[in-house]
Amino acid sequence: MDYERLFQTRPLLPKFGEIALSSLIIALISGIALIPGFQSPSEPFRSVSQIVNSGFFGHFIHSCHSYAGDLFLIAVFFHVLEYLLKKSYLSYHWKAWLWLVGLMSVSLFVVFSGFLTIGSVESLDASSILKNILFAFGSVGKSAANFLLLSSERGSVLTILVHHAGTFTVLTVILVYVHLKRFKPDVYAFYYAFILISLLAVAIPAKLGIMPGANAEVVKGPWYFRGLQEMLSWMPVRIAGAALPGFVILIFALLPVTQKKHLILLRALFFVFSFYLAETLIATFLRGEGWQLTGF
Amino acid sequence: MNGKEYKQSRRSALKIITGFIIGLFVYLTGRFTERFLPERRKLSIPVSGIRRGINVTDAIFILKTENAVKVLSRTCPHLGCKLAYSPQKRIIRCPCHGSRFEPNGKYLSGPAKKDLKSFDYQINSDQLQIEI
Repeated sequence: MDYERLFQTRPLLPKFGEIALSSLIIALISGIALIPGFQSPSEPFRSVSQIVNSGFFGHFIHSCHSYAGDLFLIAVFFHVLEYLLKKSYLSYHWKAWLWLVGLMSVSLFVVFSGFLTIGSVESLDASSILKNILFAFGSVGKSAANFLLLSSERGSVLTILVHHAGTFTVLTVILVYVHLKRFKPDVYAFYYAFILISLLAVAIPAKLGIMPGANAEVVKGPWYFRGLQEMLSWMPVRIAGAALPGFVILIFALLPVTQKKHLILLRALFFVFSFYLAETLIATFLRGEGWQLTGF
Repeated sequence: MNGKEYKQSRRSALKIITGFIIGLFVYLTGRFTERFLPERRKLSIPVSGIRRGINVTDAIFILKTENAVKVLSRTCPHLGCKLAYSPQKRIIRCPCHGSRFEPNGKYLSGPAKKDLKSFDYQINSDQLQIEI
């Protein structure tokens, strides 16, 4: 099948890469506007609640930031899918391709680290899960966990907040620039993303999650990690949390160097993605109280 | 060695040195952050406020039976999620991955595969003192 045609006819829809860049810029601007409202990293949920309850502008900016992050990830996903199907990796030098694989991973982390700064039950549990997955890598993982989440030991999100606003954002911006050699998006794509995000922010305020301290019966992570959460409920941590993500990154990294067998790697990626999507759907729709299966 | 070869070998040497410096920096940063890990937390809970059955606090469960008190961690031994107590089912459950425990902390099912951690405590002038 000629997959390229899937992306050739898209009336009114800008290029996914341009939507991703526009969303990133909207997330950066709204993030800067949120900084003064984030009063106390030791009480993050209270800080975010205060921003949201401060009036229309506070709630609008918070929702814009949240939806811009989500749209950024969705657009990056379709952008990657489009260029994988077009087999663009064959024209890349493997070193240049590695930068793109790095950008993809950092993109996920810049959004996820934002989720960790909210301080809701979901966010606090996600921090603990990340920390314990990193602990599975021995002393190197422990150092990485301390580096990313040290202040969480004291109930503060200060460390991850600095990484979200600083480390990961700067890395994303640098890698985007290395990839595009520009940082200005297509104007049409920018307005497309801005109107979509604004409409969503006005119509459906972004959820804050469960208040910390509550006796939560079921805790679900962000949509892009639900599949991982489901896998962790029945697979060993080292496989679900380390080997499988490492395997996916390895497949991506190997695409340009396996010129003749790249279709096998693409099929493997498609299989892993289908499996992950199924796990995400199970976690989202079939898991109820105490993470038990419901609806049967 | 001609000029081109010299440049290439110098570049390789610089790459190795840069890799070593980055590795050393990451290692030292890891060791540096360990110094800032907090010490164990001390909790103090009024004994008179503890009722029979499971008492849920932010960090621990306190199980009071007719003649004993048991203090259990509220952190799941699997991946550290905060556990919830279901009074209807008289069971402690992990809301993230579904591990289940008896009210006395004994493992029942799920990915945790371990009992809940229990803490020693002291009672001093109507205060239950626990170090977690």
